[in-house]
Amino acid sequence: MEHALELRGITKEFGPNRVLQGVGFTVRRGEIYSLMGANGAGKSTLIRVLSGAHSSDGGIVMVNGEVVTIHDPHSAQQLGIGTVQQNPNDGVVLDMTVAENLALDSFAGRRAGMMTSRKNTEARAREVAALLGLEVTPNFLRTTVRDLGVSERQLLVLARTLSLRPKILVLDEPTSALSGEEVARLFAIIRDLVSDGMSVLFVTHKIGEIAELADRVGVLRDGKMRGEFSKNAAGVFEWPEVLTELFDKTPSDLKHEEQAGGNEVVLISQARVFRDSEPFDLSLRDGEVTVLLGLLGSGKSELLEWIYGSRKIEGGSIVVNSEPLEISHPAQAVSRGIYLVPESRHEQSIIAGWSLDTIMTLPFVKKFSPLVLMNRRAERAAAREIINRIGVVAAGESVEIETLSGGNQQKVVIGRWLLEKPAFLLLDEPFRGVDINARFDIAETIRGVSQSAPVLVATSDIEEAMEVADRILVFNTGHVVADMRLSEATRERIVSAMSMHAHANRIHTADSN
Amino acid sequence: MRFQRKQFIVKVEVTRSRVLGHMFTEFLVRYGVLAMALLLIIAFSFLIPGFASFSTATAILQAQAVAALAALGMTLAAVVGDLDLSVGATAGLAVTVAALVMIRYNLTGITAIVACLLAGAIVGAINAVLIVVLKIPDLLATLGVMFTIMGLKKWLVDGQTLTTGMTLPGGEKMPGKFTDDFSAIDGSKLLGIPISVLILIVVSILVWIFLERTRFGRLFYAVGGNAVAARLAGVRVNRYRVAAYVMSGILASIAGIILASRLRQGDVTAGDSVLLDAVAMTLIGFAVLGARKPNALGTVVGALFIGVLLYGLTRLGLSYFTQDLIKGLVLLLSLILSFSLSRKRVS
Repeated sequence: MEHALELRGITKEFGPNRVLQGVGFTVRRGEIYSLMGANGAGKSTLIRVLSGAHSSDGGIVMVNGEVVTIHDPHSAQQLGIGTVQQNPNDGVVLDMTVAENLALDSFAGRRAGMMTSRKNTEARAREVAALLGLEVTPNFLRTTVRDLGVSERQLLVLARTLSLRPKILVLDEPTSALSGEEVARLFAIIRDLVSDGMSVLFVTHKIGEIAELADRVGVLRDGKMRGEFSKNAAGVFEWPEVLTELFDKTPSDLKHEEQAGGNEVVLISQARVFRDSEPFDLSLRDGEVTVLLGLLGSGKSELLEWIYGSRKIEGGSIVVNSEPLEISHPAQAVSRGIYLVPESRHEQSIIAGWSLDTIMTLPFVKKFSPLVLMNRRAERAAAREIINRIGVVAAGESVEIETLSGGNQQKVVIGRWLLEKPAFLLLDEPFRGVDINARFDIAETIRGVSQSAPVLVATSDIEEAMEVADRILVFNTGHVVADMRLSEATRERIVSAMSMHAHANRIHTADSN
Repeated sequence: MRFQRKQFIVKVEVTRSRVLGHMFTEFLVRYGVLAMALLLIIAFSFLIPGFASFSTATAILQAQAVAALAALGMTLAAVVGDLDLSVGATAGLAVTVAALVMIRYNLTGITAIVACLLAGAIVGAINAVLIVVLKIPDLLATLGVMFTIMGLKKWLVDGQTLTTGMTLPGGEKMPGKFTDDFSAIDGSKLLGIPISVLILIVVSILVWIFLERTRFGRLFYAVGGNAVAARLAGVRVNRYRVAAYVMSGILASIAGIILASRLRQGDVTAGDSVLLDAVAMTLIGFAVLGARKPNALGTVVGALFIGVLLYGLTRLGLSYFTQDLIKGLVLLLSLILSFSLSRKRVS
């Protein structure tokens, strides 16, 4: 049978990083195929290949049974592949009006005339909006997109994509900015389009949405397809099996002895991460590693950033070592010995072209400049000591950080905090894009720090959690839904805690803009 | 790991000439500007009698001192990631302020200097508020400030050039004149070197030490390199951006003080050409030693390069109105060196 879209052996590398390692799957005509994957699994790269933003290094793409090459976004459109990117701002022109945005593609089309008029533009915009069942008033059409909320922007992008009448619709996390009602409307529209013969590739990690919408689900992990699932006789997916593929890895020998835990050092009370999430209390001990396990959008990054003073949340207070922590800037956290290793290494930790030692000493430049002049020798010596202690594989402390592998880069940005004595260490997804050996070293380092200070590790990966944790907190919808010791934790227990609440899981950024 | 192997194979396969070609490109990227400057100096020394002399060197430095100081200010703002287009106008404002203080209000030279520095700091602070607090893009904010200041300095003197002993259209006679101590800044020499040149040398060294050796310089580069990462490492990003603009304004006003001392009148068009020269020097600086980022040494080398080139060509009979053309071409060449040829570029 002829498939709407078929991928075979797609590979893509960024330098030493093999993001896609031979991905293949098929989307049948009139089917909603859902692609699931944890952070860094390669979903976004795959979508960029399909939308023409990246070209693949190997493998073939077939549309309607014919091998095609997608050179650029335009050729993807020509082939009938319409893509809605995760970030709605990538699909709208902020300083144009709603009408101009909706009609943009017909301006760019070959049949477009030289002249445009507001009347034509608005008429065309109404047609496009009608595809989504949107009611538009002249006032709304004349609003600048910059003045719209995220969810309205998202709907505009969708309408624009649909106006090109794609045969294959690729949606990357389309609901992350939408309210419940908007999601319901979007799903109804998708079902309608599918019954007219369109095929949909729906990329998400929200179990609830897949359960509601998808015909089949494929799991992508570490750049490879891990399995494909259809609904069982009762018309539902076997979630434990799916989640096992999503998280499972080849068994490794990274087991460790559970630490007992020491004093309660950090007390968090009445923390409310999202406007509609329940406040919770939490205490963290030294002498153990606590893992905050939750999917993207569960609010775990928000919680860490709040503790570190780089973000505000709805409410809550923190006490560290019996002293209240009232801060509004990371500088204050650093001076209290509270350190964060952020989630996104490239955007949030690394400065392009800098050497290992300068990346390491950046938070502590004062310590290395007795008056104002930097003591380069002391800086290098301190960096060298850390490099040896935590086993960074590098030609020396003066090489540029970008020449290292992902795992070694991660060691450097964790190791910088060992230049001082941490009072409380926070790590957001410290194992992302890190190979197995570096994972082992990083886990060792983290456990070493926990001897003298509480350590909180946020991750969305069960296996990583089991590797490093003494205590596991399952985090969902902005609060803790399960709290267990490592010895009590089994994959089944965690999966059930995660999937039980997965339906309520949603990112709460829609109204904040 | 696969990546490295690939590179290795490529290396084995390239022919000898390609290796040489690659080395030549690398040489150009690192030493292109310096080599060209050296070649120019040698060539001019043969072509122009008396070129290789101390007096020529000070003449070149004196000619470029104003723009070079403004360029050092612009370099500081560029290090934190912003471009300050208001440096030329700020230098011009300092000329007007100096003339007002001394000619119109008949105050001392020291008062004029303090007033100029204060004016520069205020302009820098306004830039900082617009960019850091009101979140206006740096180019647009400093462009707006540039226009405003150009207008302000005309308005302050009713569009007149303030000269000693002049009478305003209203019949008011100007009581004062440029004081001797103020005029000495560009007019007198110490150890055979004009004081303005000494100021340039001292400021250059200070800016270099600040950027390359102090923790503040390190933090400036961190802010410019990745403001998000800097903030998450506990750096007070906004404070450093504010500091960079204020310092840029002060350096621009020092440039203006030297210019005023040279002109000895409140010329309303003074400083208008400083901006483009400063941009050129700062950007040529990117190419010095393959830095690919704003840096003090590069900016000074850029100033010297332009100075040598213009001086030599003028002595060889090139008319002054081709100067901008030459500066533009040199700027484009150095941009090619630092952006197009450089292999450091991460793809």
